[in-house]
Amino acid sequence: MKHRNQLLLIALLCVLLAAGVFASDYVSGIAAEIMIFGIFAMSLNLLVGYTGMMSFGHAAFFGIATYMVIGLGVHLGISGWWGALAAIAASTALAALIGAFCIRVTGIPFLMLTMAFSQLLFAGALKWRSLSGGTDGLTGFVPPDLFGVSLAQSAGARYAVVAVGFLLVLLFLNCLVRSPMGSIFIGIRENEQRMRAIGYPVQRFKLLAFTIAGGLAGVAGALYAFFNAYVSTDILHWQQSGDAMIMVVLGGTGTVVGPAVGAGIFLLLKTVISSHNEYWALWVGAIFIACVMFLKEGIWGFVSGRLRNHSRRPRATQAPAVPTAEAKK
Amino acid sequence: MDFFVSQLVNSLALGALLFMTAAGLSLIFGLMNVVNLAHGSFFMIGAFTAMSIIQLTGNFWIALGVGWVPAAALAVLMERVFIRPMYSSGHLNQVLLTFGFIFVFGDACRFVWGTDIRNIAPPALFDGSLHIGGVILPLYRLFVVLFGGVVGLALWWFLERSRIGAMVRAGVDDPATAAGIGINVPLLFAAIFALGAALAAIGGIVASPILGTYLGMDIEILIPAFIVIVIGGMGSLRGALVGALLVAFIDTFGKAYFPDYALFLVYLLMVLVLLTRPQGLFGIARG
Repeated sequence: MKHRNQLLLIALLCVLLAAGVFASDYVSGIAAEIMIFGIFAMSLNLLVGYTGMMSFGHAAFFGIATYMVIGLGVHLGISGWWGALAAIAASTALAALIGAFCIRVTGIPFLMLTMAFSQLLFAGALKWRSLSGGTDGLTGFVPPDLFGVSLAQSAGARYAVVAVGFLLVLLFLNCLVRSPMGSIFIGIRENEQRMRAIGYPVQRFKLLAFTIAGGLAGVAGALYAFFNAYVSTDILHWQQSGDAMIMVVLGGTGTVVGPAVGAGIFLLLKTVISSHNEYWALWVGAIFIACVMFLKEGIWGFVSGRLRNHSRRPRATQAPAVPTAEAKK
Repeated sequence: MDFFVSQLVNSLALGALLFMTAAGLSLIFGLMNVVNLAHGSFFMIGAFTAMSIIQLTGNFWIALGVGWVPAAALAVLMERVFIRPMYSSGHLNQVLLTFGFIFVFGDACRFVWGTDIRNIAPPALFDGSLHIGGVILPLYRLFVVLFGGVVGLALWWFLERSRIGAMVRAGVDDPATAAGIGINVPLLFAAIFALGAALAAIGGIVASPILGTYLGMDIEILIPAFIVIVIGGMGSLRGALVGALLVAFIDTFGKAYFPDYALFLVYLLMVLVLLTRPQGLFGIARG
């Protein structure tokens, strides 16, 4: 029953995503952006929601991938497809390297250390102008062709590539969190000491989670390069990491897809409110605070919990309202 | 040599500003176990309030005397309504909560004071510079150094010698026992939160003739202040002082002597300290 529901949901999602190809360029552009940041937020949630590691420097892996695709294209003329592969490899490797340092601490020091590494990268991009273009950014990247259709010209093709990437990441994460490895991640979040006592090499699994999350953020970054064809240092700014955190909390940490919903809510709020009112950050901040205080499971967690309640009323539900990771003192 | 001395004064002035901001942050963490990311906002609110008071009265000293009150009042409100329900829900939820407040306070400041960048003239008494040999030292920066020292001493006296300070220290060590012997811990928490915010706001007021006032100064002080307390050890006043001086020296001299690498140096310092001593230089490792 549950399985069939899930298949139905995924099929529905596929139809919905497929419909986007025929939407207007404006709508498919917004949808593509939401999905890209959805991937980014879902990858951060693997750390924050599932493994209990509050990273504030996740933009590093997103940004390095975007820079890689566009940098390889602009400086060396390498096709975007090869660039994307190189970019995902680069962000995975960078995540493994940074993660090896960061997992040695927890809580606030972990948060500060992840932020410090991403700020170091930001400073590097700012200073190494010949490579990164600094604040002016890198222009002139031409997105590759897909079956003879140029991604540079066709918004529909761009959208299709992003949608396929989004679905693949969603499926991958769904399988991951249900796998034994996903259970280990959740175990680390719930009680790191006990996991250690049972005999799991906790540090190794934390590094693994950090690396996978970095690699997935790299997928989002590479897709963003196709989507935007331009990159500047803004992409590595701490605000990018902060935005991802807001998306995760708005959508909810308890489910895989929640943060992607959060990304949608965040970007739509930003578009809608900022066109009516210049104080959009105030509203987003207020909604964010309300979520942190009263809606621990996030907007998606709340809605899906309600829907589940509704569909099978007789049985008490076990809505997996996973609280945000608690600090371990 | 002249260049060195003037940079020394600059770094001491920056250290004083960082200390005033970081001391409140550290105190709040030490006593209340609350991580307040909106602390930089109090700094900014202090600076903006000072600007308004100076525009109104033309007197910097009035601004310094009462300019911190709105920030402290806002802090009391924030502690009562938002932070108190979150005491038991862990650092990371508090981080998220106060992170949201950065946006709210930032936009509220934009609403009240607009987006203009404004300069503030230093008070007439310190508007000038001191010439010693070939060195030209702005008087106002010397005042900031002195003022930071006085605030530091007052804070030390308050915590170590006064009755309320003893209560605070008792609350830091063991809030349950402190409550048991009749200390009103919730009141103490609110008072310390307000004191921390007032310190940050005073930092902002004193900084305004140097930095001017602009949106975004909240983050610009928040990140180094956090680096200061992470390096110095969270909850330690001595750590805040040493950390503030260390960060200020490295930042100022880095910018003066290695302008290309200045951005890296402070973060590198933090990475090194965190990897070798995660609890910070003066922090006590918590089990």
